[in-house]
Amino acid sequence: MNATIIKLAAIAAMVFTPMLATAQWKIGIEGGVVHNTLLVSKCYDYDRHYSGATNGIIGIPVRYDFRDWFGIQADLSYLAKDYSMYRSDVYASNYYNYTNSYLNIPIYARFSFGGTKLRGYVLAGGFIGAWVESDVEGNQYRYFSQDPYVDYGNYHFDEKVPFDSRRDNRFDAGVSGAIGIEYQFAKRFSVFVEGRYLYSLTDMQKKYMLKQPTKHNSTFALQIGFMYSITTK
Amino acid sequence: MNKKIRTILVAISALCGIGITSCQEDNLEVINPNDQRIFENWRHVFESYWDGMNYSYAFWDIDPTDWDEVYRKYAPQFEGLEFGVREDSIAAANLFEEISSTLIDHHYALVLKDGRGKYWKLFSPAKKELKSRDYYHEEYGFEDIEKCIEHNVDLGRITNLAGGKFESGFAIWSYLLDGDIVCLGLNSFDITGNMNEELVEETMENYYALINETENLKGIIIDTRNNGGGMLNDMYLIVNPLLSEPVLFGYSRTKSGLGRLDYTPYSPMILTPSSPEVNPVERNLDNVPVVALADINSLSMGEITPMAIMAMPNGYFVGERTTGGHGPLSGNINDYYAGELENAAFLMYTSTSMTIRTDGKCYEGYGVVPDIEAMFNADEFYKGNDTQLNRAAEFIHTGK
Repeated sequence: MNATIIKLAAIAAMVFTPMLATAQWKIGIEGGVVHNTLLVSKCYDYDRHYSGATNGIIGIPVRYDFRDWFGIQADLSYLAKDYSMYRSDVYASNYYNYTNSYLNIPIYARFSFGGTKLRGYVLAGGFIGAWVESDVEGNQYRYFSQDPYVDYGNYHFDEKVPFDSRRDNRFDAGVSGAIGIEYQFAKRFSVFVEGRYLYSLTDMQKKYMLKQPTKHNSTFALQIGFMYSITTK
Repeated sequence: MNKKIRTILVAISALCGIGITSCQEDNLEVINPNDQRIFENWRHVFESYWDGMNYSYAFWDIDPTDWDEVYRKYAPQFEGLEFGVREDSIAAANLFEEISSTLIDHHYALVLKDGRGKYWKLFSPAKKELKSRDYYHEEYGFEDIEKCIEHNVDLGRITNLAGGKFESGFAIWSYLLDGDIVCLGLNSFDITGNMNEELVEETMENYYALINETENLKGIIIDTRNNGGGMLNDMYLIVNPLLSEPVLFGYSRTKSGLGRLDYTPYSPMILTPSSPEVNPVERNLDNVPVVALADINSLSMGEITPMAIMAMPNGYFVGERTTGGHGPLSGNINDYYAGELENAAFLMYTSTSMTIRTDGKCYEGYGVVPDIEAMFNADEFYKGNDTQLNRAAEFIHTGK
């Protein structure tokens, strides 16, 4: 984990330091909701279902505009890539809601278009990040119920999921894009709303077994934010 | 301007492409080994067995077997082994025996079927491991226990005897030892399944009545020696009536996905006292020692019971280190897509869950270690002198 954090810090420094040296950039704050879906190869466990889950995202975007229509943007985002796993029919009481927290650094090429105050934009790029924490809340059968004539009791849990270094791939990287509109309401301030998509090319698991089922995150975010122009053009 | 628009269009197209491709679910094509009915040769059987173990075995977290290496090493060896050729079938059976020989699940059995679907070969890695222990001894029959009981009846040590054996082989007995120790013994956990049988009713009523009515009650012995396990629910009838407080004695977890290391959270294994309205035991037993008596042939519930009794404040275990098959079995792979499966070519009998004790350690394949070791003395036992039972009684009487 330490190695991953050092790598991320080094990359962030490489991205941000040259930008700090220039004067034509903007910084801001953003936040919103994310909806993540786990893309998983189910094989034959047909009654083990997966559904997406909604949680939050916050971030600090930093942007450098080369032209009025083109710039680069990097964010430091903290977001959840959650999902639920559940059974049906007689097993319906068994469900697992996973909350997985990630630190992501997306880097984008930014293309904008439109008028001087109100402009649309498109972001295209990729991200790297780290899987920071995992928790699970849910219910499952347990042996030795209180009723002697019932085979299973119910056990409700809400706990941290310890990382297993043999299984868990805590390095996260993928491709990302966004579409949004930005409105400049003062000389140095603007507000934006955007829809963002992140697809993790990295599996949530290390390659630790033959014929391994895969698990990838697919994440949509809807967020609003403010940008502050450090310099004006 | 045109260039600018083109660039933006390219970026939008790229985003759409990402979105479309990412919506595709990854697929791994594997037939459920439990449903497989058609096999053309031994290589097919190996593939099905390997897949079944790969996705459904509950102990990959702690089992030292390198399952990937098993595939690399053995898959080529099954190539060309045909059904209907005796030498090929023998060779395949030998390979399966080798493959399963190091698995730590001590419930585990691999049963190969013949061409007509009848059981042909059975491999049990636990049997081999047990025989390698320096205190190994064979299982004995209920007739041998009866002989010991009769010997003690003749000596006047055993009174108020009830119990016997069913045609199915299930045997249960209860009695008063030395006038102050209540004993309940059974060779499998099949009380719940025979609850309405007169023999079981009499034996259990005798057990409860002796606990309630023995004035100078010094202790209780639950004898699960030579007991291969059975129904979990029997514990409610045997141990729960003795409790005044809930007893946490371990945790179990099963698979949460098809990855070898995909596990659910641990569920606690807790015994709760019987409610006063229905509890057949009417006295408080907090100061009465409860002693589990078990041996190397105590498996599954036969050793989970000592595990639970040891977690009681007044619980002890006398006897031998047990078999080490602690993972409960549901018998239905669909419960968790884990554990036992059976198809046209083989039966893979294995635990659905893995169990750890309250110290956080898993003793699968190792067994439960007694507080007081009392080894089986075959010479004395077959003469009717049950030295392990005597040691348990000595402990209750002396505290040592």
